[in-house]
Amino acid sequence: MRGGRRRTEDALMRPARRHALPLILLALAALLGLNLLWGSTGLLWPFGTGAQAEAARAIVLELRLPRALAALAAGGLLGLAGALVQVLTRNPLADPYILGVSGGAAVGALLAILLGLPLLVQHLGAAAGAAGALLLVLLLARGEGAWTRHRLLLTGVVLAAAFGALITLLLALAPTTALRGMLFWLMGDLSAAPAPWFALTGLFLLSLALLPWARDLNILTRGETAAAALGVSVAALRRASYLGAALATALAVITAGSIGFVGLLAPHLARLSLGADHRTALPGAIAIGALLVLSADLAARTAIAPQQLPAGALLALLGAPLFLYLLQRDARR
Amino acid sequence: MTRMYDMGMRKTPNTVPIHADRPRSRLKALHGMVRRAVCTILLACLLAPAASRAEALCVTQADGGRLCLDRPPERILSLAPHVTEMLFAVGAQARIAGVVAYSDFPPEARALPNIGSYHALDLERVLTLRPDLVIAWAEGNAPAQLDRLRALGLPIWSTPGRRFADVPAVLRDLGRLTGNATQAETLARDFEGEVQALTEAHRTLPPLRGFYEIWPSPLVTVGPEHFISEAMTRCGIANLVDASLGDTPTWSEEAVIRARPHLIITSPPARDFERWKRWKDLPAVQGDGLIVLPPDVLMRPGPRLVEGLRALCAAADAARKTP
Repeated sequence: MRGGRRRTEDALMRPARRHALPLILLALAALLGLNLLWGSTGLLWPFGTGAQAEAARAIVLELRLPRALAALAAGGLLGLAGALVQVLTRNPLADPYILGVSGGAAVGALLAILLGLPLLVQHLGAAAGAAGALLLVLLLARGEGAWTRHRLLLTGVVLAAAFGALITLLLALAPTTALRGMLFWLMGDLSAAPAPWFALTGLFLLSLALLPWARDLNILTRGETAAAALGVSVAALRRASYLGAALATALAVITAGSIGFVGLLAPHLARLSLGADHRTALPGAIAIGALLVLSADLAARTAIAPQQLPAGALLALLGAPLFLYLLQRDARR
Repeated sequence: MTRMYDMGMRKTPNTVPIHADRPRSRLKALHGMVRRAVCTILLACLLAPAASRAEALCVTQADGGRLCLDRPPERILSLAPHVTEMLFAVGAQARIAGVVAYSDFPPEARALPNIGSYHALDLERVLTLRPDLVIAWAEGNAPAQLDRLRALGLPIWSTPGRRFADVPAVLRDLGRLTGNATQAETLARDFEGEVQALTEAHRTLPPLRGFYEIWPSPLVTVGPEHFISEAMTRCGIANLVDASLGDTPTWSEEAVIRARPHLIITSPPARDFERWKRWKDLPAVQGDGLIVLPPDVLMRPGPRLVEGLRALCAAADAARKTP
C-alpha cells in the first residue's frame, strides 16, 4: 500500500507528458474519419456527384455518422466517469458501474426489451432506470454520521448488486427471441444507439463543469486530510465528482448499453501515457475512452461483416493487450 | 453417442431397443446390413407377428438413430410448441400429459399442464406427470437438458425440424406411434401437396431479393440453412443472407440497404418495423415490400408452416405485380 502510494507520488512528480495529448486527439479524429468511410459493406466514398455517391452519402450520414458519434460520446463519458470514480474511491480497480446507475438503466432497458416495446421506450426505460437509481442512492445516503464519507459509494455498490440480481432474473424469464437483444445490451452494442446529440451535449457540459476541478482532484489523491489542509472543500468536491460520474455513466449506458472495461481502462491508459496530473489525465481519459469505443465498434462492424458483433465483446479483447503493454513499458522505465 | 443412447435405453424398463443404426463406415454398414438381414430373417421366422407390431412403434431420431417403444405412448410430454401443434393435428391430444411454455395453439393447448420453459424445464413436474414418451425438437431444446431427462430414464424422441420435409415425416411417425396413422397420412399428403404446388408455381418466376427480420435490435435474421430461408426460396425469393455462421446471425443494416431488397419480411411483434420506410429508394419501400406475416406460422416447423408459406408466397406475388 505504502509502495503504491509512493508510486503515485512519483508519477505526480514526473513532468507531465503533455505532448502526447495532441497526438491522442489527432488519432481520435483519424479514427472518427475511418469509422465514417469504412463499415460492414467495405469502404464508401461519399463525396462527388452521381447516384452512387448519393447512395454512399445516405449510408454514411444516416447510419455511420450517428453511430460513430454515439460511440465517441459513450466512450468519452465512461472515460471521464472512470477517472472520477478512481479518485473518489482511491481505488485503481474501481469502474463507473459500481455507482449503481448503470444497473438501474439495465433493468429499465431489459424490461422494455423483454416486453417487446419499441426502441424509443427501451431508451426511455434505460433513462428512467438510471434516474431512479441515482435518486435512490441520494435519498438513502442522506444524513450525517460515522459512515458519511463512504455512505454515498457504499449505497451505490449495494444497489448495483441488487440490480445485478434483478438483471439475472429478467434474463432467466426472457423468451429466446428477446434474449439476444438483452445480452447485446448488457455487453454493450451501438447498433441500437439513440441519436447521439443528447450524449454529446452531456459530454461537453460535464467536461466543461468538471475540468476546472482537476487541480483539486490532484490534491485529493494525496488524501482527504491533506486536501482539506491545503484549502480544498473536500465534501463539495466529492459530491460534485459523484454526481458528475453518475450523470456521465447514465448518459453512456443509455447510448451504448453497459459496455464494459472502458471506464476502468481509459483512466489508466491516460495516466500511463500522459502522467497522473488530472489537468491532462482527465481530458486524456475522455479522449482515450472515445478512442477505445470507436475502435471496438469499428471492429464489431467489420470483423466478420456483414455479420455483426457487440462492441463490448471486442473492447476488452483490444484493450487488455494495450494496457498490459503500457504497464510493462512503464515498469522498465 | 450411440453408446449413451443404448445405456439410457437399458435403464428404461418399458422400452426395448430393436436396433440403433447409424452407419459409421461403408464396411461396417455392409457388415451390419448382412447381420441385420440374417437377424431379420431369423426373427421373422420366430416371431413374425410381434416383429411387425414392434416396427410400427419405431420412429426416426433427428440424428438418424431409431427409437422403439414396446407399447403406444399414453402420457406424452411435448418440449416444443410446434410438437404440441402436431399432436393436436394428428388427433393425439388425449395422450398429451404436459407441454412446454408458449404451447398456445390450438387454444385448447393452453389448458394442458405446463412443464416450464425451453431453457428451464421443471424436472419435478416432468417426473410427477410420469411420461412414457418425451418429444423434443433437436434444433430447439438444449442437448444438456435432454441428457438430463435421459439420465432420469425417460425415452426421448428428438424430432428433426430443420427443413420443410421434416414436417410430414414427423407427422407420419407421430401418427403411427399414437394409432392415428390414417389422419396423419392425410395431413402429411396435404402438406406435401400444397408445398409442392406453391413451389412449382414460383419456380420459373424471376427471383426477388428478400430479407427476413427475426429481431430489430440487434438485427437478427435467418441463414441459408434455416427453414424460413427454404420457404423464401420456394416462393421465388432469394435470401440476401447467402452464407452465415449459425442459423440466426446478427446482420448489418447497411448490408441490407446496399443489397436493395424487394421484400423485407417479419412477423409480430414487428417492433420498430416502420423504420425501414426512411430508405425511400429501396425497392421494398417503393413497392409495398415491407411484409408483416401472421404470428408464429413461419417460425414453427409444424403443420401450420404451410400457412406461413402460403402467406409469404402471396406477399411475393403482390410485390411482383407492382411495377
